[in-house]
Amino acid sequence: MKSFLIRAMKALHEPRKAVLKLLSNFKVKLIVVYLLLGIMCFFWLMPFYVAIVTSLKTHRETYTTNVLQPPSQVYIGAWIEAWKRVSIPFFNSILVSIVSTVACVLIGALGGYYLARFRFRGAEQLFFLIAIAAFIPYQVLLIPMTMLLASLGLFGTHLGLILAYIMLFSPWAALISSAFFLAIPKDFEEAAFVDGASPLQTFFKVVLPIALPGILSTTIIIFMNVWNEFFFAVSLITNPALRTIQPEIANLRGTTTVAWNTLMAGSIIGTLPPTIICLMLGRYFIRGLLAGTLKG
Amino acid sequence: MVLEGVRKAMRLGKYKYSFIFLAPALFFILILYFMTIWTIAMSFTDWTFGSKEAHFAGLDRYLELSAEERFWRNVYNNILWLVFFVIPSTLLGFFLAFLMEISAEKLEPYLRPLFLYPTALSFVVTGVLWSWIFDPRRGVFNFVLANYLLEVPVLREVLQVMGITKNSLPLLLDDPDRAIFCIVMAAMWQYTGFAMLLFLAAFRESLLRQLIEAAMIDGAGALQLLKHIILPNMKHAFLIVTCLLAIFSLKVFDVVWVMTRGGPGYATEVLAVYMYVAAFAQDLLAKGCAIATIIFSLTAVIIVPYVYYAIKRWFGL
Repeated sequence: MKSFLIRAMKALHEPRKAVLKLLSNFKVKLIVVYLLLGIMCFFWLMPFYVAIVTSLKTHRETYTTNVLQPPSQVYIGAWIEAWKRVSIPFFNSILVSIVSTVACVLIGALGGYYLARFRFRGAEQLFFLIAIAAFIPYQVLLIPMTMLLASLGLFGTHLGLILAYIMLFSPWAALISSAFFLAIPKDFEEAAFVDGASPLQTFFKVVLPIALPGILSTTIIIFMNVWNEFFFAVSLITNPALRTIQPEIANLRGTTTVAWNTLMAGSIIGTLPPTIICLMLGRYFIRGLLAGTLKG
Repeated sequence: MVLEGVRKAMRLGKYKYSFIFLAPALFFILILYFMTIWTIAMSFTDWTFGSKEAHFAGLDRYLELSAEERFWRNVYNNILWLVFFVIPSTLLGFFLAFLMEISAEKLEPYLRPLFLYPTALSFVVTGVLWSWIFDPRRGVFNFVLANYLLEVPVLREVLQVMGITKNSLPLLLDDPDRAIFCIVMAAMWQYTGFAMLLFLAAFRESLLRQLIEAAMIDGAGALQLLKHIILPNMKHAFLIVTCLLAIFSLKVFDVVWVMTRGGPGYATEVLAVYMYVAAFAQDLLAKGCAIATIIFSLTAVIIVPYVYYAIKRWFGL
C-alpha cells in the first residue's frame, strides 16, 4: 500500500492547476496575497542580505555607515580573516561529516531495508522502539556518551565524535531509508531470489540501485544534520585544533574581539556545504525532510 | 494463493539469517536506550565530577532543583517557547502555504526554496545572523528603527507612546524581559519554512483537492473554503507540525546558547542550557542528569503518542 509519505512526495511535484484556475476569479484579493507574500519574502531575505553586505565592509564601516547600504568599496579583509579562523574547523567538519554520514547511511540503509521488507512477529514494536530512539533528546545522552568515549580513550578525538554521530543518527537513517524502501515494488527482489541470489547480493545489486534516489535523500539529511550539529560537537571536542565548524562559529561570536564583518563572513563559509547541496539537490533534500518528519 | 504461500515460506527460510541486516543499527539503538536508563539512574545519586563514586541520594537532586528559582525560570522559559514559538510558527507556516497555494504557479519554484533554505542552516549560524540584527548597540533592528521608522511622523507618535525614542531604543538581547522573544523570532525564521513544507504537502493530498474543487464549483469563497474544507481536513498536518515544533522547543539549546548564553543573568535560559551548565561548567553531573531526565520526561509525553500515531499512519503497519 502506498503510504501518505509517498503520495505527499509525488504530489509536491505535480502541477496544481485546478485550484489555481478556480481561485483566479478572486482578482482583487490576489493583490493582497502578493503583498503579504512580498512582505514575508522581505523579512526572510533580510538576514542574508545584511550578512553579505556586512561581511564586505571594514570594521569601521560596519558601525559608521548605513547597515542596509552596500559598502562604498568592497573589502575582502573580513573574508580573509574569517577564512584564517574557520579553515581548519571547516576541513575537520568535512572529515567528520563525510565519515559519519557514510557509516550512518550504510548501517541505516541495511536496517531500513530489513524494516521495510520483512514482516515478523514484533516488527511493529521494533519499529516503534527505533523511532523513539531517534527522538531521544540529546541532553539525556550527553553525559553517558562522554563517559563511554572517555573509557574507550576516544574523548576529544574525531573518531570519538564520529562514533557518537553514528550512534545518534543511524536509527534516523534506518527510519528515513525504510520509508523509501517501502515505495519500491518487490518484483525485482523476487526475481533475484528465484535466480538464487543471496539476501546481501540482492540488496547491493538489485535493491540499492533502484532505491538510489531515496538513499541520496537519506544521505543529504544525515549529512546536513551532522554538519549542523552543535551540542555534541562543542562538548566532545576540547582541543581547539580539532574543533569542528559550528563550535568555532559559536566561539567567534563569544569572543568580543571579533568584529561583525568577520563573524558574518565566517557564518557564510560555515553554510557553504548545505547551500551547495540545496542548490544542486534541493529536490532530494525536500524529500528527505518530509521522510524525516517522523523525527524532529 | 497456494503458490503465494509456498513462495512466502521459501522466502522466510532463505531470509532467516538476514536479521544481521538490522543488527548494527539495533546494537547502537540498544546503547542509546542503555544510556537513557543510565542517565535516569544517575539522577538519583550525588555524583559530581570530583567524586570517586556515586552514592544513592534518592530525590535529593530533584528537591534541590525544585527549590531553585533559576530552575523554575527555565521551566517558565520553556513554556514561553511552547506558546510563542510553536503556535505562531505553525500558523505562519500554514498561512504561507495557503498564500502560495492561491498565488500564481510560476512563483512557487522561487518562493519555496527561499522559505525552506533557513531549514538547511545550523542554529549556530541562525543565532549569529540574528544576533547582529538584534544587537542592542549597533544592530540592524535598532538602526532601522532610529533612522527609518522614527522618521515617519505618525509612526513616531505611536512608538513614543510605547516608550521608544531615538534616545531610548529597545534593549533587545540585553533586555531581561524581552530577549527571549528575539531568540524565538530567530528560531521562527528558521522553522517556518519547514512547517510550510508540511502544509504544502498536505494541500496536495488528492482527497483535499477534490473537496476544494467541488466547493469551488458550488461557489464557495476563499474564506469559506478555508473554514469549512481546508482546516477540518488538515488536522493531521497540524498535529504533525505542532508536535515536531513542541519537541524541538522543549530541547532547544544551540540558538539560545549562541545568542545570549542564557543571559542576561538567566533570563533567557532554558532547561537544556542549564543542563549543559550544570554538567560541564559546574561539574554537578548528577544534577545535569536530573535536568536531562526532566527534559526527557517532558518530551516523552509528546514523543511516544506522536511516534505511535505517525507510524500507524505513515507506514500503515
